[in-house]
Amino acid sequence: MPEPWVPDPESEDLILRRFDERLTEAEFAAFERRLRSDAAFRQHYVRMADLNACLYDELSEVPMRLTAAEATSRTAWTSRTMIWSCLAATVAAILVAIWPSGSQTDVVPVTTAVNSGPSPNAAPSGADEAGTRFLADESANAQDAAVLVMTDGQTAGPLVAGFRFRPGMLKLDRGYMQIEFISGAVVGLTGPAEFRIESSSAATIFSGQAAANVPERARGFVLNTPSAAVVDLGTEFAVEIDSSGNTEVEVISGEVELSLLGDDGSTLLSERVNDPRVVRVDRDELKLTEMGRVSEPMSQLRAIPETPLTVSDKYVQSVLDFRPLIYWRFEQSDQNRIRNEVSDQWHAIVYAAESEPEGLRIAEGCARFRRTTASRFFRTEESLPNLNAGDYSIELWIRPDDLSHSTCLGIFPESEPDARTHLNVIEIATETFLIHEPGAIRFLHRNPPEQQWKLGTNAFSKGICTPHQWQHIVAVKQSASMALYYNGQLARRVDLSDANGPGSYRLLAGQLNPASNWRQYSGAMDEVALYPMSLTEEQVALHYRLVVEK
Amino acid sequence: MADPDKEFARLLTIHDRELRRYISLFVSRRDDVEEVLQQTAIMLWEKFAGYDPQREFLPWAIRFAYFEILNFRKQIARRRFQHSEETLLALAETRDDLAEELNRRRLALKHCLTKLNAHDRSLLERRYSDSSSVKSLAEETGRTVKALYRRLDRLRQLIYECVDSRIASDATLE
Repeated sequence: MPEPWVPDPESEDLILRRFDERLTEAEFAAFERRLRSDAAFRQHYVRMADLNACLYDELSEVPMRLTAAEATSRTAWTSRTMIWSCLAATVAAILVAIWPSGSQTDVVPVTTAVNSGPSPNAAPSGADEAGTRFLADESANAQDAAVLVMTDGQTAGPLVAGFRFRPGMLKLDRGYMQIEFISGAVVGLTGPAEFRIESSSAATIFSGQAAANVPERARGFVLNTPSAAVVDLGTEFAVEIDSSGNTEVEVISGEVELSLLGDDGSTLLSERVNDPRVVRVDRDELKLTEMGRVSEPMSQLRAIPETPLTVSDKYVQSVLDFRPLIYWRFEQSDQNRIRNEVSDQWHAIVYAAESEPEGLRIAEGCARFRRTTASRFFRTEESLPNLNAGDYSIELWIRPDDLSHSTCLGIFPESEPDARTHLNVIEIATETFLIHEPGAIRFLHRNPPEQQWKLGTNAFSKGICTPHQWQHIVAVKQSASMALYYNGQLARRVDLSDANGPGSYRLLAGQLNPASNWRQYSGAMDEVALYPMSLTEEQVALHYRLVVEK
Repeated sequence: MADPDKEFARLLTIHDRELRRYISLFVSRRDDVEEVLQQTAIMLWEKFAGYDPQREFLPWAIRFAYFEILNFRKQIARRRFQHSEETLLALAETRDDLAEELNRRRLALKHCLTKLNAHDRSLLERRYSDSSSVKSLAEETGRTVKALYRRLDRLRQLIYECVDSRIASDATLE
């Protein structure tokens, strides 16, 4: 909580002018004195100075527009990497190992077929028999930039939902692929097409058709073409490259900044294009031409079917054999209360605004969350006494709609009904200041939560979870360690000290806490169980197999 | 650690922005910030053998960044407008106390920037992204330097107010 700042125009003016080095010597001396002697002023300065520093970062984040030549370059192109590349002269020994100038990796056919989520270590490159292939750049420090969320079945091999893309070149011979970038942008690609993934927020299409939907959090996503750059300003648009390399851009909704690029890759002509318009970028005649709008969009993203989680009796029996305290299966039709299958206690109560009932529905055997302006969640009304006195495990299946930062489930002290602090949080972690891969699953443990709200121990999964796919998550807390399992495999085990403690706790699912719509999870959730014991690696793997190997 | 070279570069690439942000609190000129950041990177590489991978990288790196800030201060001792060591220490302590809140404010900032209209955002981007001087921006936009500073100051104040308001509305959050 920030301490209240009493508005003081003179102080604000002093600080703002300090940022731009507009102070006189006398003013600076006074400024320095106040920094030393006035704690409230110093705090305010630190807040303002930090925001000023963040402005440099935030406003520099619009990725560079690339020329076709640059886009095909093997070299990582982000400004941050370029900055560190400049260090090569000084720290040569390091950088030789990090930014090699070698060629792209060979195509390595991989025969993993994962239908219910990605392997934790997806292959960097892949191909299928039809000739659709992805060539990842050879870069030691490249991180996953996007994940394949859907194909129309015309590709095979490793290029199935869940395949993680690092920067590299994708050649799609036929069919359709839908890719979600970590930034949140979603691109649907219709083959034949050549498409390069530049980073988590930029791509280049050399031929073929693409449609893009860019939510607010991915604003600034860039789609380059051989002759143009489309900087998205929060919209849905489609792009088609004809045989001459000219580009047509159709803005389906919202607005884009469209640039015609010169030979040096810089903008020659630019135009804000609003919906519903189609503009042709003619690179030979150096002009942008308004085109007539056809009745059907040139390319559109496809809706992804919401498949239910198929659970066998054997799976259910196995859960029951481990004697959980809570087992929510979401099989009942009651929209207000979720039945605990193993006890008369700890049924969950559903909270959803009447004005936005779509925010949380219990249907088709699962809980279905959508983001709304109002709070919506379900939670236990009765507390779980002494839950953290010993070992316990939380198991759930999720099918997220996207990679947005969102809390799936939290356990909070009964003494804090508004869930200001948590004993545990399980979430998709995207926007944090912690160190992890964006889009990873996070398991947080904090004891005692009331006093240790600034601290916490985290276990993160590796890599991106996959939107629109069912994923199995198990969080195990023991007296001296915590473990996170992802799709049946141990993702991370972390040592704990002073992990146990007294107190009564409650569970809340769907967002961080009841008071606001912060970190709302969007997607489906099923088969939630809480066990008063630590599941073993074998038991977790068994549950995963019982669902995947139907 | 399997390959310290790669691991070091990976960690540095992940955290360079946070280090730059930290240094910016003590060093106002952007080119000076970059200079201190590069010196910090070299220092970190020299000390990397002593880094415990079980611990968080950023707090470890920030300690060295602070030493580099002090070193840099000595290098530019003849320049005017230098903070005393006492002030730097007070700022560092205040920043540590507010670390959690500052991270929240940064998330709020992302939201507040989306509220800007295109014209204002473009002005700020020119100022912050490509470091256009206010004088050259004023010439381009046909305003006086004074008027442009007024506008920039106002925009920054609006952003700070928006962040304050966003943080206050999230006060019930974890």
